[in-house]
Amino acid sequence: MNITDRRRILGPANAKPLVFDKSMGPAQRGESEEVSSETGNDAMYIENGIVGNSNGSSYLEVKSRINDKNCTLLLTSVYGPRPSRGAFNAKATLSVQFREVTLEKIPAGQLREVCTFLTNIFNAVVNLERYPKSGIDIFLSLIHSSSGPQDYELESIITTCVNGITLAFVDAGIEILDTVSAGMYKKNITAFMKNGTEVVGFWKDDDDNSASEGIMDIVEKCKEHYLQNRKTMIEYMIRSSKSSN
Amino acid sequence: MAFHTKSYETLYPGQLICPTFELGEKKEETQEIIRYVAGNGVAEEDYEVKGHTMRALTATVLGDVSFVEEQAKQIPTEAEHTKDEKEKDLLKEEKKEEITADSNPERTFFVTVTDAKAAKKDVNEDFANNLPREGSVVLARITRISSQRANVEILALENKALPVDSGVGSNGSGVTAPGGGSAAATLSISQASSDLGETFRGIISARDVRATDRDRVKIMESFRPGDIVRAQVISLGDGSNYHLSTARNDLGVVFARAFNGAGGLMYAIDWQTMVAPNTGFMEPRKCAKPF
Repeated sequence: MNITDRRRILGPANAKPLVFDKSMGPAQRGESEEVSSETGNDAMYIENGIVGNSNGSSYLEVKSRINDKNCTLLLTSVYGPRPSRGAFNAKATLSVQFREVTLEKIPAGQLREVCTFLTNIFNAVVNLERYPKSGIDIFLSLIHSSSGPQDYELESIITTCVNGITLAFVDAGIEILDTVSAGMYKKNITAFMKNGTEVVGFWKDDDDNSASEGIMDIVEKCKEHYLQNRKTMIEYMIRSSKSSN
Repeated sequence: MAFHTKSYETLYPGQLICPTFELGEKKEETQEIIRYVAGNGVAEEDYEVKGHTMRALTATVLGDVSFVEEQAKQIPTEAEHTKDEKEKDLLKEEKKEEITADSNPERTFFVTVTDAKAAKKDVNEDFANNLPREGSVVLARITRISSQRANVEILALENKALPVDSGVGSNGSGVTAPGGGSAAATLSISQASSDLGETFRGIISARDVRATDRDRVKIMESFRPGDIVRAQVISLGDGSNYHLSTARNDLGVVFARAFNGAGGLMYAIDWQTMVAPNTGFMEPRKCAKPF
């Protein structure tokens, strides 16, 4: 019996392996969207639409305003809406996959928690009614994360994830109810929408530093960071849409 | 100033556009009401302004806003139908008052936000925001046939919104796409590759193949696997299949190859026959009216 592999597109029989030229050293980075860190903001580099075969993607480099050594590089890609099989669904279903593409440092249990947290946020944010019978997949690739003494800082990673997913959705043209972003304060993360009047996600880790502070104070502190992040993202979006016209 | 006359910058998701209605021009006795209805790329949300919650339209994608006014419908009033001439004359005075009293002029605008990049393209590949919905016309490929139904995979969606059967019944000539039955000019090709089995799927039941003589439809004499069919979505169907119909003159097979795909392309010579120009063989199909 002749079983042909119809799922993959196979190359011709006489194909040669791909050989790369000698690397030219680090490429010159063009004009970046970096925000100066003098004002106490995070330094953020944003680029949309890097992943060609996805529906939308975003690449984020974030350097923390507090800790100089804290740096997060994240690539987000959004696929879909794709048809979902099985039972009828009047709304789209969302799935979030998180992967560390270089060094795997984060335990699997924590990753699963992060994915559920992000799914919950974006279930409230994406206009799911617009996409019946379909599924939207989000793939997060953590390229690099460092945090000085610690191996990684989950909080800054999650914050970057929320911002990255929002940017990828905007790039994909998938309808979202608001430019959602997250703010971080010590080991607490709050994701807001509607200019900080609505909270769509709250993450709190064991933390002795902020244990004595009231929850409302923490949310307020997160909001400050959120507003900065949101402003940076909106500025980038407006600028990129103007430059493409 | 009315919201639809204002000029807007590029909108980003979550940005407020306008309230769901506003009061327009005020004359002596009438007050114009302007309504705004959310279209693509716009959502209606609750917003709190000075303690009141109110409905407002916000953008959900990055792009530019456009306001399209709904055309006024001419609906004859019941009074005109039932009353005869004499009575009408008597009522005229009364009616005049009625009109001015309760028919405040009302205008409705559809608000949409579209990506400037996508709007400029001739062919819209943005399948993401153009999922098949009820009433939309799609191009589909027949994947499997049985005596009851034909299974198809949806390849593309015609972007143009169709008026929901506004006098275009199954006997009418229907709305045809510019450039003929292939509708090539208004197509969006699904970005999902059909080889990966990742397209939306649909079913054409035997009773939805044509409008007349529905009981005697034979799927074998209407479609063959591999045919490209222009069909209309009649319902979202179940979990995995849309329900499609070809019961209209401009719907049916647009491209087909002879001898189950082994021969050349065939042409429609009437609504249920196609002919292969090289060999002269004829095969039965339910054809779409090409023009």
